[in-house]
Amino acid sequence: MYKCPTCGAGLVFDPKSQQLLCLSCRNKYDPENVENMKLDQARENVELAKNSYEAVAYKCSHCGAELITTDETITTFCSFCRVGTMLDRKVVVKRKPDYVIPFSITKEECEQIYVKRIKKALLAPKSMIDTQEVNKIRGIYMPYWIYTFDKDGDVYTKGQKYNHRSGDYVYYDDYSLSTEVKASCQGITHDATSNFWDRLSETIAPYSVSKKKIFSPAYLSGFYADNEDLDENVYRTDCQKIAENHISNRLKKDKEYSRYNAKPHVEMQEANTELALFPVYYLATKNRTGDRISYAVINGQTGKIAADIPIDFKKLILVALAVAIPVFVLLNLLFTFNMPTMIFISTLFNILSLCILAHQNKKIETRENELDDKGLQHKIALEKAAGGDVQEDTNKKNKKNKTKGVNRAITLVAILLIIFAPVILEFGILLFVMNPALANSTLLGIGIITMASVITWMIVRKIKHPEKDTSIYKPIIGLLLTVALFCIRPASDIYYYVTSFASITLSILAFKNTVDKYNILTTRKLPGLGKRGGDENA
Amino acid sequence: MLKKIYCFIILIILLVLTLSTNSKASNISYKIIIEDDANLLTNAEEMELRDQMAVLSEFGNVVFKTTNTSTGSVKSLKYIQNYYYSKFGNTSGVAFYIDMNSRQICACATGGLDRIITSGKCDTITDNVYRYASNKNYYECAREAFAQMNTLLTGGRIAESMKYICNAFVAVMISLLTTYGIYLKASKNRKASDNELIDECAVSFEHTPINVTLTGEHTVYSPVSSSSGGSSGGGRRRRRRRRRLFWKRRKPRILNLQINEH
Repeated sequence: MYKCPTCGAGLVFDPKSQQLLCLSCRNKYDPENVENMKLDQARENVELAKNSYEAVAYKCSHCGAELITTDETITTFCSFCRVGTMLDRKVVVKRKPDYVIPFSITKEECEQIYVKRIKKALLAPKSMIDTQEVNKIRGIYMPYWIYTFDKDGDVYTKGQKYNHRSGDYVYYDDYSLSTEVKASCQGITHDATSNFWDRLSETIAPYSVSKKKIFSPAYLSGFYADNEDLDENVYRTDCQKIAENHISNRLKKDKEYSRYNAKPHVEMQEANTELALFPVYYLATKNRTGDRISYAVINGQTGKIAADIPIDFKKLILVALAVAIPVFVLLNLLFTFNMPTMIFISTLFNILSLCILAHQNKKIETRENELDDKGLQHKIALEKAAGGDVQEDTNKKNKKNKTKGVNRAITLVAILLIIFAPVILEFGILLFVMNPALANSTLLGIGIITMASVITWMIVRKIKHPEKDTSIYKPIIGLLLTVALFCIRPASDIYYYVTSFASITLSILAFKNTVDKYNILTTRKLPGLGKRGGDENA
Repeated sequence: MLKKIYCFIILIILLVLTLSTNSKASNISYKIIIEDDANLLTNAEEMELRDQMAVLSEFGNVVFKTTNTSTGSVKSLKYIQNYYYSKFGNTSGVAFYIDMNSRQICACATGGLDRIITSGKCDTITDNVYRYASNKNYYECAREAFAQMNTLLTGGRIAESMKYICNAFVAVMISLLTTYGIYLKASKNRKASDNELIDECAVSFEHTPINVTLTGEHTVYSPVSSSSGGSSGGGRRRRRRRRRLFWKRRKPRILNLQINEH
């Protein structure tokens, strides 16, 4: 029985066309060619058997992540999204990696490292060192690309040397420096899976590649492995740059280069790329509401840890109050803040709160859209390219966006004015309070407007949807209160004090939002690793 | 024995010096000035206030001033300080000022007394007494201000509730920011550096001696900054000439001279 090379269904001889016909895909093949193809396929099968191994794959029906193991034990939860009992089991044939670095650290040692790290983080939520949680640490072999770059050839560099000066002209001699370089850089590694966030994988690096072993499925016993879903080209340029910089710097150390002010650049070529499995202990912890997850990963060879640790706001308040006591004593000994100073301080706190919140918004925008992860971006791009209806969706969205655009522009201008006006007035009023003589200075006015514009621009450019972000309203209200106070100018000091206290209280309240945003940054949305595609923010 | 005698002599000298200083201090006669230009006090109140101020005159000059005219661009505090200096120079003294034009009250102390009645304490005193001024009870306002100054000079303590509230707010905000900042720094995941990555790699590197070949020359226009220029301009700052730099590349000369320095 001959099988269709395209779809694998059976082929039948079609007397009409004198060719073999696939009843499934209706493709036709020359009988002579199919014979040769069958031989090639047989050879390929032998080759495939050499380069592959059989394993059990558990696919999480929630996030789509796939974990591979050679064990017969049943996996009860997904390491990436922590959803249990939803794992589909199937036997798969996987590409055999070239190498493996076996786990050197035991699970118990790993747990100790994790607990020690969390205990060091004074403000970490107590639930993070809960014994039940810690027990969920799982050893996973993560796929890594091992790159080898080399250079065997001439390196030309331009240099120059001072010769003499004549009048207003300085004469330099130009030189060409050449040398034959033989260099090799073997073992620069990067993870080959989009399930492993770059930020975490780059923190627990490096692995001692010299201790790698030839892969055998036996190493997977008792552990799991993740699939490689990123080809070697994704991180090749980054790794090549590291190798090139290192070799160029070594070459630069030659005295000739400094003598002729030359900066050599060695361009290296990729010699070889191998796939390996590296040991990683993985722990995912859900937050209280269960909609976000934070990760802790530990290098299974060196014990280096990378952990996203959220802040327990109650703990923060307690610690801050403890710190506040000596600060309060110190302030009492050194300062007596009068009314204008208090107004000034409260304004500063509000502007600072605004800047911190805006900065965090920018970071959240990047993190939530996974723009800081090259691997994920690559995978999303591939999936988008594969999806046929993406273009249609984009067109529809563009139309919607156009209608929304006008409304958004109006809101944005309003937000800009709301932030800009208080900031500019604050600066003006404060400087007037400090020195009324300066009030008439045009230069000062221009300076205030420029400064306010810069601050407003800095704040607004970091907030993609300022109209939606209610957290920035608190410091803005604080600033508006101060402005209103100076417009009314009541005689009694008590109004000034109350306003400054209210203003500081608002910035303290805004600080709660800062902590919330920090907790968003240290956690992630429950992953939809296998379901990604299209615009998740739509 | 000799040591005891020396100690006794030193004690006697110190005692004499102290007594002479005290007598000197008591000999100095400090003045009291009440200038109520805004007519805020009655004659009786002025008399009573003078009695209160007399207690303070043991330590220095005492000034009470009110105005209802504009002090121009000069701040109220600066105004009363200038007024005091114009009257008494740098001698010890305290002043209390009610500016009805800008509706401000301020207190100040100079000439040694400012070590006890610091600017912070002055602010506290005005904080403590401004309510009287708001209720148009100017006499009570001034009397209480001088009374609190007296308390401070005699080693007593005054209520500083506003100071404590302000400091508490500021301390809480500072400590929140500090704690957060330190935690942020401490819990940051540090990425492995390029050097750390390279350290784990198998690196081989060798190169042949470097061939240096002269290929040409180029010139750079770089005018030497002139030290001449005279001193004309009546102290005006001489404008610095903007230094222009541009490259003038010449065609390579036929100078392919091989310099093998190795």
